Amino acid sequence: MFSFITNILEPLSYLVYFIGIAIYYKQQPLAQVKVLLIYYFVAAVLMAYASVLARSGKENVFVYNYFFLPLSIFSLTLYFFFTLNDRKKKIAILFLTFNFSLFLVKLFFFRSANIFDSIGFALLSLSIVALSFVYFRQLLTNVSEISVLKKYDFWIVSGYIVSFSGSFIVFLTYYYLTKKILATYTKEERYLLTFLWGIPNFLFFIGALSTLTGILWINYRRKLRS
Amino acid sequence: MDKLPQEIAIIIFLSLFFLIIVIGIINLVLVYQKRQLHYLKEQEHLKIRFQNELLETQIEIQEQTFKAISQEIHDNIGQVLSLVKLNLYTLPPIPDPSVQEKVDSTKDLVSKVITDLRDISRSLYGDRIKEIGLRDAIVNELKILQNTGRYATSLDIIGTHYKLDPQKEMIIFRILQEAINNSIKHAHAKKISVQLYYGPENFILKISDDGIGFNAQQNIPEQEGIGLRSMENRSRLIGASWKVESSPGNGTLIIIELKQESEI
Repeated sequence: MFSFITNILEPLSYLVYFIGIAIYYKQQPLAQVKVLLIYYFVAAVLMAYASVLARSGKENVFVYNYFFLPLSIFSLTLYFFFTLNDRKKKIAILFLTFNFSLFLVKLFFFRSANIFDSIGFALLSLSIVALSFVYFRQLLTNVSEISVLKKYDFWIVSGYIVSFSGSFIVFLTYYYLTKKILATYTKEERYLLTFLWGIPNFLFFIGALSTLTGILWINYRRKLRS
Repeated sequence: MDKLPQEIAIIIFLSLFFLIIVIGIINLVLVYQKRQLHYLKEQEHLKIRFQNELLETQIEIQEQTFKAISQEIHDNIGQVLSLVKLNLYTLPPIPDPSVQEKVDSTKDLVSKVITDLRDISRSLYGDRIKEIGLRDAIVNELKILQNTGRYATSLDIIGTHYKLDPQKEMIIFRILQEAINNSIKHAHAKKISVQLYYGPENFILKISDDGIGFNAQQNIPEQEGIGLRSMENRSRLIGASWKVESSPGNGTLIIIELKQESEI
């Protein structure tokens, strides 16, 4: 069970997200949905690869730092760029520019050992949470006759805000904790650290599951009506 | 190492704290959106109610005006014409045959004017329409049209006749008058057909003509579509559906459907 949560749950979450988004794309082939569809496919492959590496006892942090992080920054911010109104698009561009510049600076000037990029992931989480709030504000200022529960994007953004806000502290402190136990690195310490990694995994799975449930529920309601 | 479990506990606690706050915010968004939606629906409902009340007032004013004109025709013009007719009939015989012929012709013309005015007066008088019912009012209206000798009319009644709410019957009759007026004035129709369908669940009125027609798919300019809009608004007021089918050169068909449970 422990191994399932720390290793399998992560690629599984992205696979669940991919299925949900594929259903959404079939209903509404919009640009932002296409971005997410590609993102979740690549992310699921990357996470499966990282999981295989972890299970075979090999280092997998580079998958997160050099592939998954820039992919997430680009795709998720782009999703918000397409979803938000014209006036709010610049907020998404601002976050994208900032996070991506920071990633490039760290890549070329502060290339450190294979330790989780806490700052990069924490900032990504903060950006996604902030953009989610902007989206909620947009929802409340432009009230339509359709309930928010019948909007696909509401479910996706709610999933993001839950998983990223819950994972923020874990991401932020992971570098510090890894550094701290690097000298001793006992079995108990490793166990605790891996246990901690299970929290974001669990939250991402909850987010994925709620998104899929929401999308399926909307489709079911639409079929009932037609 | 001693501190590590404590630190992890703090991290978990903080993560949970953020999570609870965010879930709370999502709930707030849902509640707020629900309230806003409720508010919007209420506003829409009030708007429709206001429009209906406005329309009812307009119809009421129009009916009062029709009633006044009708009474004026009956009590004043009608009486004067009757007096003219009486005077003509009580004239002593005129020796000049050509003058006598003119007097006889005038007698006929005055009689026709009195009959026509009486018909118009009846057609305008809303209470009479309520009294005799929609079917007979339509029969009379078509008869007036037929009597002019310029238009051919036909009436087709399907199903067993029943009376609708008197107020609804009067509004439907006014819609029919508006449709006939449009057919004559704008469509230059020569033949007007009316069909009444008395179904167990609905009542349908169809008015068709052989006029020049128009493109019903196109938006009609506000100034030109007053009659059509008036018919539509009146139908909406009694909860009936209103449809117009027309194309250039193919006449016009207007369908009004009233479900039995619709109430004003």
